[in-house]
Amino acid sequence: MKTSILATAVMEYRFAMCAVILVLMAVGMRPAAEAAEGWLEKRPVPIRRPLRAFDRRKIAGFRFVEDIGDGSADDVATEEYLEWRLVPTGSAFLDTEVAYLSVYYYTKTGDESTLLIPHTPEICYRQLGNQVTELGSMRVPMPGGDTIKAKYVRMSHPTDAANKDICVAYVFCVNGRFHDDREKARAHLALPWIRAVYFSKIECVTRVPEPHRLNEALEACKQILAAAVPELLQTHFPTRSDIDRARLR
Amino acid sequence: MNTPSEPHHTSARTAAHLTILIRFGILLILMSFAFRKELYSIVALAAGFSEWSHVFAMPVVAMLFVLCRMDDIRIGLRKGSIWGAVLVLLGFSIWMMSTSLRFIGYATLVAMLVCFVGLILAVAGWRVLRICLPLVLMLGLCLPLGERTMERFSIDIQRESLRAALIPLKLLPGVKTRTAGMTIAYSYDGKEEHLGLAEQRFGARLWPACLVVGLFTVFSRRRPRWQVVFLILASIPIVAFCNLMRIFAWAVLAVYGGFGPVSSAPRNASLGISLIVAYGSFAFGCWLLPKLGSRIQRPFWIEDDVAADDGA
Repeated sequence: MKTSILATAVMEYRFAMCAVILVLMAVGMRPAAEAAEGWLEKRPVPIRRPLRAFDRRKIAGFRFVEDIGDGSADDVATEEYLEWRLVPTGSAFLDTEVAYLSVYYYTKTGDESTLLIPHTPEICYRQLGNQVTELGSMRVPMPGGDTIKAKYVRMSHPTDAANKDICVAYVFCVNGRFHDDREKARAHLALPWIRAVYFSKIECVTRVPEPHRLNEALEACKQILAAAVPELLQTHFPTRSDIDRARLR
Repeated sequence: MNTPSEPHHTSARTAAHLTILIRFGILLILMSFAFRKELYSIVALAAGFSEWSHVFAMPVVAMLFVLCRMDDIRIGLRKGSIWGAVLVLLGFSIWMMSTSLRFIGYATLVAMLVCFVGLILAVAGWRVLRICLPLVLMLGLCLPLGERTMERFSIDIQRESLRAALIPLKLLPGVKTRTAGMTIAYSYDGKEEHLGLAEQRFGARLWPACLVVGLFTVFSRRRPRWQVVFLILASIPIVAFCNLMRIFAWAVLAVYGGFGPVSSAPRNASLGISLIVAYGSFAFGCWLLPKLGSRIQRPFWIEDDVAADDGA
């Protein structure tokens, strides 16, 4: 009995297997992913002490001048944040003129089942017309001889004199562990066995006084991060037991 | 002389090819439906960023590639492999993992490519997959990489390209040029302007499109392995040269063409010029290598000896 080409085409087990898998994927993969997301839902870990209560005297070598973060909660997608303008007090960083410290704390809120890291300087500063000219990483000293790795981004603005040459250093803290890269932080947040999570972005900005003096700007950033991070861990960020409690809640 | 059985064989072969084509078509439609959101995201991004606009040419390029290699594909056609179904399942797993954990968005696009490889394997077998690997690579170059990743990989190349572009630009009459951050500042006719002021990765862009052009040019016909290896090695300097040509053409058009600093005309024109240069460079390589190859295989003095013998 003669069979048509279409019938011959369909009656082949490898084709049939692929077709069945693809039909199942087309129909079921999005509902399945949603179900898996629900199953892997993260739990919130509230901050221990609000960032508004951060001790202004803790940044050695710099003096608090102004809180510039009022009213930007919608922009940064969190209520827990601080954005400060600092000036150097000693003679070491006088050429830096001004520095900015920003800390943002995120944990699961509302309906979203997982946490997403919103922005990093190399993308969001670009919206202001800045251009990335250099990317790198640096070691920030911590108490007890440890160091953490932070990323720095050097940017220039072709027309804006205030942002002509700036250096932004940032580090992510996910459940007390530090990452210098957004993707690494995302990978840590995505681990399915970590159920209660928070993350924070700690960022500081300084000016590069002259093109060949990037090291001075990096040193200023290093000093600010080295002062801010231990204080955040000791006083503000949740401890291991806080995270465990949030997981069991 | 035709034997009586030949027409029957030919029609049976045509029917077999048509059957494979129908299978592949059905599976491709199913796959496109399953990955409709990913396909939409690629198209939406390509519509917004000129760096990925080669995505729109990809269906035509893919069809041309298949047409150019049709004879090889016909000869290579075998029964499909069960590993094709395994690859489709693997693609599905990658997609599920990436989506439910919201880990790396790019992995969902890679999952689609893995499924596509699985389809070729399931329908046409390993030989056809080997012939179509350049096509898979071309499709891979159409999956948009994240902004941060692109920035991280290209930042040094951007800086060096801008420095290198200054060398020919300094030769332009009446123009003074210098790098200013990741742009080029030029003064001409008493005015100072910037090139690539609002451009992302002005110093190094369009390399995926140039590589697609190169892959198509090199693999659209069968070549000896040594030529393929040589052309693959040459692709890096060729792409770098095309990038320099793009910056140079942009500068010449912006300076002498009288376009404003935010005009898209120099960008679009330089984009076209660099793609033409890419095609020309790869095509020149493809033309030159067989000639060099025949010289290597049969040295020129042998030719002369033969001519001398004939004369005698």
